[in-house]
Amino acid sequence: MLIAKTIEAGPPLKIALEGIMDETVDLKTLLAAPGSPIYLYCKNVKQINSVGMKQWINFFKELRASGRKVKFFEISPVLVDARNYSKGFILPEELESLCIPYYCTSCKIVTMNVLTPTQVRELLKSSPEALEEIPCSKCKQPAELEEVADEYFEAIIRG
Amino acid sequence: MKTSSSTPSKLVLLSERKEDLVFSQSLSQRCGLELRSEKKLLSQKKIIELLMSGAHVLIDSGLPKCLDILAGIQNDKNAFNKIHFIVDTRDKHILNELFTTKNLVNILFRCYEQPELGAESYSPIIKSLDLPDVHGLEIFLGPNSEIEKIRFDDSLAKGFISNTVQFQLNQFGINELIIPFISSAADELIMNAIYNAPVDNHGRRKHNQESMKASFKLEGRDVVEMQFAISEKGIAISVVDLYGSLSPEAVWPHIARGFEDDRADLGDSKDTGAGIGLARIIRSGGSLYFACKPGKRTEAMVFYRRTETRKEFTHQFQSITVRLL
Repeated sequence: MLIAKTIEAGPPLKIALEGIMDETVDLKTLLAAPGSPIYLYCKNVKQINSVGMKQWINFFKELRASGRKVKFFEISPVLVDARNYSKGFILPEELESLCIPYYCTSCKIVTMNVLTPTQVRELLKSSPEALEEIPCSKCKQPAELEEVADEYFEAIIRG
Repeated sequence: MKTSSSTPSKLVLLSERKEDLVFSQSLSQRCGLELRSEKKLLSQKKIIELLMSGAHVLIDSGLPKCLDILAGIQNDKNAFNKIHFIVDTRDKHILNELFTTKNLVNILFRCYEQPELGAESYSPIIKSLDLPDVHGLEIFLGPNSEIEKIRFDDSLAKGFISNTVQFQLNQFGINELIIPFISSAADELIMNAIYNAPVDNHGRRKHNQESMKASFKLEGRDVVEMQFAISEKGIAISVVDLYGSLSPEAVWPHIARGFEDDRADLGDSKDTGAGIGLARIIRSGGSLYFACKPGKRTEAMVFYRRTETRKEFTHQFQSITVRLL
């Protein structure tokens, strides 16, 4: 089940999405509130299946065609993965920021960092090692990037 | 052509790659097979003789004309079952050739940073291929494994199953970034069994036009069985449908999509999503095993080695078996 929580009525209309995007979700109903542009905060989208991916792509395709603007913020790792795999999932100009996961082997917890695509591109170019670790949110010791950079940032690199 | 029914005694490696040899040495020990290693392809006649004697043959798919072997075997599924092609995931040309080759059964990927771990993962697959039938996870995990068996009779029970899987993975301390990918894999296999497997007498799908939001009873052959197990070393999922409508030839093109460089155009695709699901399972680090019994049942299984980090999880040893029973 996917839940849409209105953060601000706007404009822009700000909505936080939480949960699982699958075949039971009706994005038309969830995002029925009027207002443009829509800012979607997606750090808590925990899972998406193949039918959910198709529905997402088709829904936002229609939304774009209707002239309604959308921006995506803090997209979660599962959405980054889905975007890397499929065309038209989130367009480059719609992506405002993404979550980047780091894992601390001492605390066994994940620390999320949020960067914009521009920041990622600049770091990949100037100092890719800066993307490889950040301080663990608990022990402050280095937590390592939980993904292979070239793969995780594939869609951003492609543009 | 008839293969020997006696216990196979040999594992034959045809590759000049050192890492393939290390992998095969470990695999032969685990399977109790005598290893024979050759750096080049043997003649088709010789390979067929080896297969008929019950040997498993591992072939580096980079060796010229190695796929011709499959064409040389005439309708002996036991022989097909014992040919294993080793391939590098980066070698797109060979992958494309493999995925379109008729009678392909086993592929294993040369991503064994630790060949012993790869051999540990692959040895139950080798052993299963010597059995005339497979049913359930027990033969892969051992008789004392704790396997949860679920049989559900309502289409919307899938959501509950997905939550159960997530809960158990949490209980076992699986990394929170890995859980969604395992849970998704279970979800995809169940969805395939509910919506894509059931066919009418004319082979037309019964449910794919039905709203996936609606609840409907799964009765008779529509009942779906699932097994799920988390052991110290691995995680395994099995989903069985009682239609057996999936043909081995239909599986490979879906899997091939997981290796395409171009991003998939899902919005326009007609399928309900199961094909995409299989590709995503492969991309997330899963090994797939399909046991297809036409008209009777299909068992789809996913295996993962337990890892601490998602990076290790995604890049673990992987194999694909698509077997006709």
